[in-house]
Amino acid sequence: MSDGLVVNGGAGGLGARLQDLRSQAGLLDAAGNDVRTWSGLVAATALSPDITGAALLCPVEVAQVATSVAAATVGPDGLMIVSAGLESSAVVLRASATTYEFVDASQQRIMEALQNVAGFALGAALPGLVLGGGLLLAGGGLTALRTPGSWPLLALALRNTDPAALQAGAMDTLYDSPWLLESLTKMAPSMVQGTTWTLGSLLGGPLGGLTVPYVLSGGKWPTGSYEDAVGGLVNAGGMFGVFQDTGAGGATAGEQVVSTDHAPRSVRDLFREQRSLGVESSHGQIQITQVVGDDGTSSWVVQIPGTQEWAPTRGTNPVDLTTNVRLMAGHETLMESKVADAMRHAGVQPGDPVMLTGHSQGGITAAALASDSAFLDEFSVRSVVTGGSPVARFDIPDSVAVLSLEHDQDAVPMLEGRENPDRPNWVTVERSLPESDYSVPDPTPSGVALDRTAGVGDAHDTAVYADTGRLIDYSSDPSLQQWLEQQERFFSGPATVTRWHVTG
Amino acid sequence: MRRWVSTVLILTAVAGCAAAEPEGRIPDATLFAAVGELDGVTSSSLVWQDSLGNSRMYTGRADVEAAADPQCVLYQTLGLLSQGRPGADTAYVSVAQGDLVIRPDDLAFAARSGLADLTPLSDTRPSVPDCAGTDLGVAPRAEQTP
Repeated sequence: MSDGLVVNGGAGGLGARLQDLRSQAGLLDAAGNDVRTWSGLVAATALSPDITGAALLCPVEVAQVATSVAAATVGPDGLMIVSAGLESSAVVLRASATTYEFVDASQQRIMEALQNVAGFALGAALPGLVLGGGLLLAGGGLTALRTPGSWPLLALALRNTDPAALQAGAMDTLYDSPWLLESLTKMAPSMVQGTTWTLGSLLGGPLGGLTVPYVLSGGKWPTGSYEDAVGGLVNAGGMFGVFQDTGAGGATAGEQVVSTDHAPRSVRDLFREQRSLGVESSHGQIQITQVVGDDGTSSWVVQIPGTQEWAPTRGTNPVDLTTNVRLMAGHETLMESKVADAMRHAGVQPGDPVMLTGHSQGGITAAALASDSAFLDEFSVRSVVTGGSPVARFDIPDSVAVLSLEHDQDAVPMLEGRENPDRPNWVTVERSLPESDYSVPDPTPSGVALDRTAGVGDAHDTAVYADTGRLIDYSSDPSLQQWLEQQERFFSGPATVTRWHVTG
Repeated sequence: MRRWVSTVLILTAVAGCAAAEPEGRIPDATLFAAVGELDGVTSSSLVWQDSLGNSRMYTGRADVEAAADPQCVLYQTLGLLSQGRPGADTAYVSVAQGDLVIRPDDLAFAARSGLADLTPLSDTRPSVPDCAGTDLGVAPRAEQTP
């Protein structure tokens, strides 16, 4: 498309088309039934008492009627044939839809199996490569040191070696080759297992290769399951005192009411507010906007921030690395309970429509809450918006309209190693960012241009996601237009914005 | 073998992708100190933030005394910061005067745009833009943070 967006799912998506196929099959089935009923009625005509009574007086005419009825019912173009044709078409349509889904699911399983094997092999080779590379460098260095003639060359090599340039080159390669970035992220869970297997083998031979990963992961490794792979990592971390989801529950009011300028009125605005939540002075807060409709009912937009603390041990802020890995392992988290608590404090009532939104970890938390039946029993989640979040594995019910924004060069939404489902109620928008440095408009009203580099770091930036949101707001894509129409209640009407502390 | 080595290099680079970015023309500490010395500024809490997801931004607040012109202080603050890291986001820099908080979008767009042309006096001395004769825009409004 001219706006550079690729839209999957939603009203115009494949899932919707498959659903259409099944609906068409249903219509054909019904039509086939109707035609068969008519066929019976027509056949009954030939056997009616009037006709059979007339057989003695007008045998030729009655025979003609019988022939015509037979032709109209069981003849080559008869109603029974038409009925059978309609019903068999319905069977073919249903079978096509089912076959497509089966092939798609099988293809996904095969790809995941291949990724697991490749990742394990790469992970298993890593310690050897690092060790070998180190020995090679050390050996080469010693040889050069022993040969005074090579000292000028050695000095030149050391002077010209720029680690920052090497790193920048590698990052450029990743940015220019999203497929490589995607492959590496998809292989990551099995790579960790492969590396642990090698280290275990080095320490304790073949037995060590089996027992070390098993013990470290709490019996979860080796596994092909994504959740168990990450769960094993959580368990291994626990042995060293990291990834512990500790802290006091509950949320407390922060700056109770903030400017109504913070009320989001569009997808772009949602990510403008995610950016605002990411500013250091706002760390540890979530934002809840109450929008009052013409009929006096309230709708709520709950905004959850992306990762703010990268230390593997929990401090006071649960918007951290521990919450990331636990969410990806499918565990319940303290952060989810804090969001629910803040919603209760804010006054969200059962039945009030709720939109959950988040960037990065915030999107994962939103998806986790929208997949939690207890949470859904308490709150009426109608919508989820994520940006740069790996959420494909969450089982979000069809009653929730999901919009996921993903940049092709952003590694974070690839971390779950799977494409988002193509469903009528789940729209995924992918955007390929420019190949060279670019600028995006500041999502705040100032609108000045913000310079962004063509790198994987900036591909995850909230300002760039806000710009993608702006493109969505103006898109003519039918899936996006339908999604936006469905969410109108969250973006219009008098609004009150509050922020809630989740720290402590 | 070369393919494996490239892969290892790339993985190492990914692991270290949060490496520090070089500072701009004038170091941050010099700029923040210069903000603290502006007329009417009583305290300031400016920081450089470059985190995954919220990259390359100056954020924070300068508090000014009652007699100061907060719009002018913000204009000068943004002018100073424009001599720092190129392309940085300054949308979350504010000036507070009691309950009144002034943000960059409270300044006229033309005034902000003109700041891009400021040149430092030297490598260690930033220049301070003059508010006189500059249309800074509409009167500021009172509101709560953030």
